[in-house]
Amino acid sequence: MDRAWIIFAILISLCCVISVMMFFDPDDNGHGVVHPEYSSMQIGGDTERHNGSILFLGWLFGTLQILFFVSLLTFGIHRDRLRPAVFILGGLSFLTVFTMIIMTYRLSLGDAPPQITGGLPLPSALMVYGLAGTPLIFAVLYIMQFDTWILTPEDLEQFQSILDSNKTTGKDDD
Amino acid sequence: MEDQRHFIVLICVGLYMGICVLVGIWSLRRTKSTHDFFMAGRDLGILVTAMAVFSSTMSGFGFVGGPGLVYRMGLSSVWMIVCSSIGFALVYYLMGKRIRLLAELTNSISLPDVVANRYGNESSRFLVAVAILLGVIAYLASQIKAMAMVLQEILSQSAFLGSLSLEWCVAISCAVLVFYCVTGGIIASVYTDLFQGIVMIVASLLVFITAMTAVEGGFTEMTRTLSADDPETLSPWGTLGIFGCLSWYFLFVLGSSGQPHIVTKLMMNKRVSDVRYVMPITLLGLAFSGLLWVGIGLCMRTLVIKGVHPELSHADAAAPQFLQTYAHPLLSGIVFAGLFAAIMSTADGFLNIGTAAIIHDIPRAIKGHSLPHELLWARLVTVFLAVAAALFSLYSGVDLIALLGAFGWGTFAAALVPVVAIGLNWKRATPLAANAAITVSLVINFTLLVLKKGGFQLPYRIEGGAVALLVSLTVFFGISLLSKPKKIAPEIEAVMDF
Repeated sequence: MDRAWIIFAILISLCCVISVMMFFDPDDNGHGVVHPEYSSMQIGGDTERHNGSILFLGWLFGTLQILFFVSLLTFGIHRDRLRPAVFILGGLSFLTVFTMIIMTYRLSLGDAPPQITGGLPLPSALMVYGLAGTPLIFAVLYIMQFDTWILTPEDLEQFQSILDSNKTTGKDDD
Repeated sequence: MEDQRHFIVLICVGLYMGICVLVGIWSLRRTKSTHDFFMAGRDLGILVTAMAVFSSTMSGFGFVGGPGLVYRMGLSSVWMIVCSSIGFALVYYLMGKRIRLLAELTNSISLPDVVANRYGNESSRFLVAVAILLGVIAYLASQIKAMAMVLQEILSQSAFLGSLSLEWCVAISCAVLVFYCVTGGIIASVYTDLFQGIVMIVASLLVFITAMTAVEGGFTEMTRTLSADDPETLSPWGTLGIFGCLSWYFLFVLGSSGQPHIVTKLMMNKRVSDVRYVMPITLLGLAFSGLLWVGIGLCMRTLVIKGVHPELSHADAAAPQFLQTYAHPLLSGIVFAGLFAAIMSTADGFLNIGTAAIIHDIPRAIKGHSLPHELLWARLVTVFLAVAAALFSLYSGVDLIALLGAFGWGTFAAALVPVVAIGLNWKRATPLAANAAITVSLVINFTLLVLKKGGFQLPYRIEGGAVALLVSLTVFFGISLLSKPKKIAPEIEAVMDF
């Protein structure tokens, strides 16, 4: 199936999730309220955000975004040079970290003291270190595979010949 | 040294501005043509390009607004930082080589030039130029106002200059900005960006260390205090909630690929293959500046809750008050200079692309050719644009400016991500889809701006810009897939095949 159709399907799904959210009627304090002592700060509102369906829709929203981002990355690589398995693995790692954020957040709700990892509660540590760190796989691949995936020496030669032929035909006289 | 704090800060800021002026004078001799003025002769090295991309990304919002958001909402706004790794992976995968190759092939000096050549359509050029101009005016006005307010805050402590009005502060800070932009165009802009980027990285590192030591017990004590006060503050969603955070994530991951002041820098490097090394330096810079964002915000929130520091009058005061109270005077001076650097390095990019839209792209789209004596016009229009944005920032009210700042980011992202980031990589994309996506994005962003001014909020604080971007992407893909593909010029098609 064409990559563009897959991306279009993901976009339609994202639109559906957002549309569903438009029909929810959140409580006034569902997205943070003014701190009782310090008016320049907010605190998290009531427990509506802990509601299972909101968390599930949030997971779906984030998952579709990750699928969209990883699919979009492949647009920068010529189809013949694309190694789908690498992007699928990278995408799955990315998705696993995001799913773990949701799961550990759900499990952390309650009165028990938070489990601190790397100076932060576990779900936040996964967000700060994991969600920021996992996509670096793609950055490393870009640097390491630049000459084979992104721009080969043959591409550069061909580009130079196009430039030369443009000069000959006077197309670049702008 | 403490009693000399304000004097030291003034010296640092004065030195910084002096260096910017010197770079402007140095660049004047290197700016001989419009190509130099807008594209730096396509001759930038790895470090200069990387720093230009990084410092254009990190605006005054990152240095003042970011810590303020963490102070107010906890970790919610950290989604705007953690998005950088995947966001800039997308920027480089989609734009790194493509925009540079197309720019050289078509001898383009602006983003609308590249778009017009790719789609073979002058309406697309016009619409991209209009979207850029709308975003630039909104953004530039908010940056100029931020710059003047910081200068006024610094001068307010001085006995001699303490009563200087906001108008004078706008005039002083704009004069430096306009001077180096007019004399040296983008050459001055990118070389000041290099200097500004280094100042920002050093400032961020030092501030983070200071923030970690300002609270007795360090980061562990901050976590304990904040969790005890409100566990949600340190949850991944902060106080905003899951949908607000994830809509920011969507907008900021994709948005970077649509910011014209960022992506045009990728048209200017000397060798296209350098982008593989430009990427890690950019990411490193963003990671360092993220430390300042989180460090100051969490530290100030902790200090206020513990009763060590009085409550702030407003969240955006977190960074200035932290610097004036807890940072060493010399560090305070460096960071205030870094703050100017962050604002100016973004504003100079806006001035340059806005000028290109006015003197090059819009006339080309309407009359088929750009203005005669382009270099002279470029310099005049740079002054005009800065003055217009300065007047706009002064006489349109703070709330309006804040709204327009958000409008600027959303406009760039929603209008340009589909057309530029995707359209330059996807041969099936059609001019009709490009024009429809830009139009839809402008209409949605403008409608949401008006509604927001009237107090309207999307449910769960879903970010309006994210909705505009999502709809514009869907329209772009939908129309392209359902309509007949258009023929692309053979040499452009060949470059799109790489």
